[in-house]
Amino acid sequence: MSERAADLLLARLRVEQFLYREARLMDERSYDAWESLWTDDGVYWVPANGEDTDPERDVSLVYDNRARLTTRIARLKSEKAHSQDPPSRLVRVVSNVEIETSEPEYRVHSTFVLVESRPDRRVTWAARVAHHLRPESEALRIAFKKVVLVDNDQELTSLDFLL
Amino acid sequence: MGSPLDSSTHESGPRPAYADWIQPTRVAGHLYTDARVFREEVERVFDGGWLFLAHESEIAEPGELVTRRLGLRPVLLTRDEHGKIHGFANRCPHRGAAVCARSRGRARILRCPYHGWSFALGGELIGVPHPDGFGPGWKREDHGLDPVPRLASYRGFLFGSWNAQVRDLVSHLGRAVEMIDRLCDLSPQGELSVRAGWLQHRVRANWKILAENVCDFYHPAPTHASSPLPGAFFDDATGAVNRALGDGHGEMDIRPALTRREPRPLDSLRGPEREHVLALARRDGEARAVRRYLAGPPHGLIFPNLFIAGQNLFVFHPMSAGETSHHQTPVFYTGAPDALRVRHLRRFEGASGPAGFLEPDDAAVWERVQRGFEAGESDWALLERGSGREVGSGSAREGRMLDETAARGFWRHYLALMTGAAARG
Repeated sequence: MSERAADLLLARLRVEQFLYREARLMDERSYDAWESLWTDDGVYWVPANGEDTDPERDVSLVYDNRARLTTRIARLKSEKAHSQDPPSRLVRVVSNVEIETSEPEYRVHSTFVLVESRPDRRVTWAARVAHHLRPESEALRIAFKKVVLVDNDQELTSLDFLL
Repeated sequence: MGSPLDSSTHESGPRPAYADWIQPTRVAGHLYTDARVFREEVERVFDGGWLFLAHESEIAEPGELVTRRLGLRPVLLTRDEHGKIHGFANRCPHRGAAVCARSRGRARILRCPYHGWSFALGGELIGVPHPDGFGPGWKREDHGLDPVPRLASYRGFLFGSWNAQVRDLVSHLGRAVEMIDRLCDLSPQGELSVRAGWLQHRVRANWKILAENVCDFYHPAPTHASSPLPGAFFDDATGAVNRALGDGHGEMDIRPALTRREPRPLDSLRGPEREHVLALARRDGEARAVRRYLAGPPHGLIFPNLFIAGQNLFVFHPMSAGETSHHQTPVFYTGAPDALRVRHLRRFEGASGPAGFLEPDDAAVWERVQRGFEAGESDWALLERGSGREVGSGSAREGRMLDETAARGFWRHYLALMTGAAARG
């Protein structure tokens, strides 16, 4: 195997491993560990009503800068959110990982299918996801994450967990 | 979704006894769960009266269109090439296919996909493929899109009614016009822009649970315990007023609380907020502009299903007795600094929609109320707080911040409509 092929393979393993771990942390509601994956200037975006919307003009389901993300996590951790009493049980499958560029940071496409179970309902969520993963002192960090739910222009039930 | 109207199997119970079920300080659980109540209220409240459809700025440009619900029925709103707004049943008059399948768009003509009948944005039938053989008296002019019988605006708020005999819109709005005025007058140009799109939240609860909730300031501290709301704010001692405006409209008037809490003169304001107030001052003079700014936008229900939630519009569409579609959008002040617009967009998202910090907790509670009533036969919802100390008489009454005055006013009007005691709308 050429050195270049080995590098590509290692990069893919590194990115995939990161995405799988991130998915598990969200499913397990390991909020602190998930939050530690973010850069200080990270942006977590879940657009509404399409995928090419302008977050400065059009409503999004979520458009969190780092401070808002911390507030979101603090709220979920407080265990005072009635919408999460009991917490949604979550399992997601991450797939179709595609590394678009690797310099200066990884730009990665992936998809997930997520099943949310609650006492009165089971909801299937599916999305295409773009990650910008920035190497910071040996580890990867999320500098940007955009989650385009397939039904983001339709009525949705409460979305009170991490995507 | 199944039609809520075909659930006749659930209509075997007693006939709705509205006068027994709606009492001054309590209402029967059946009102939230019974399929016959739902059918009758769609007919009398939703099809009989005025309903908010859209803000005119959503179709600001000629050729823009949106689809909406008016009660349970889909409608199409267009702005024609001359700038005039039209509303139609979203249904081809030929064989009934929906003419427009998108929620929002732009078009020069509307073409039914089935047999290709095409319509001008003003509804006229302008094209019929193979137009022979329709019979001797057939005229193209008779087959335009079905207009919504009544369409009217107040300061850009577009309302419609299926009831051609409904009283005029301003009579319906009554004292609630003041809330629309307050919101519009926070714009230096007196105009709003509502073009950021809507978030849609599906809730398993009757629409009236939402209507009762929006002017309820008794609930925020416990319901929103997961968010850092200022606890001391939700207290009768602030001087805020829970007000029934008559005609089912209600208002949570927090002006006394805000102006007491934040005696901020213009000098203390910085950046875009200061620019905004200065722009208002050029129109209103400084003293009025500062007062207007400190008082902020209104919080109130326009009967039956529009909530002006500060600088946001919430509409709750009934889907069935047990389901509601809650639509939410932010409002921007035309002529105010752009930085405030973006800041408000972020604030809206922080609170509203399926992933906001407030809406999911509200929905969780609404759904618990619904499940509670669906389980019981003879339960009551109590609306007693402040009933012994209301000021005012007839349909317009005032209570304290945490009182249930506005909710009682909602039910008084609902009762009058359902028993035929009040003019529809």
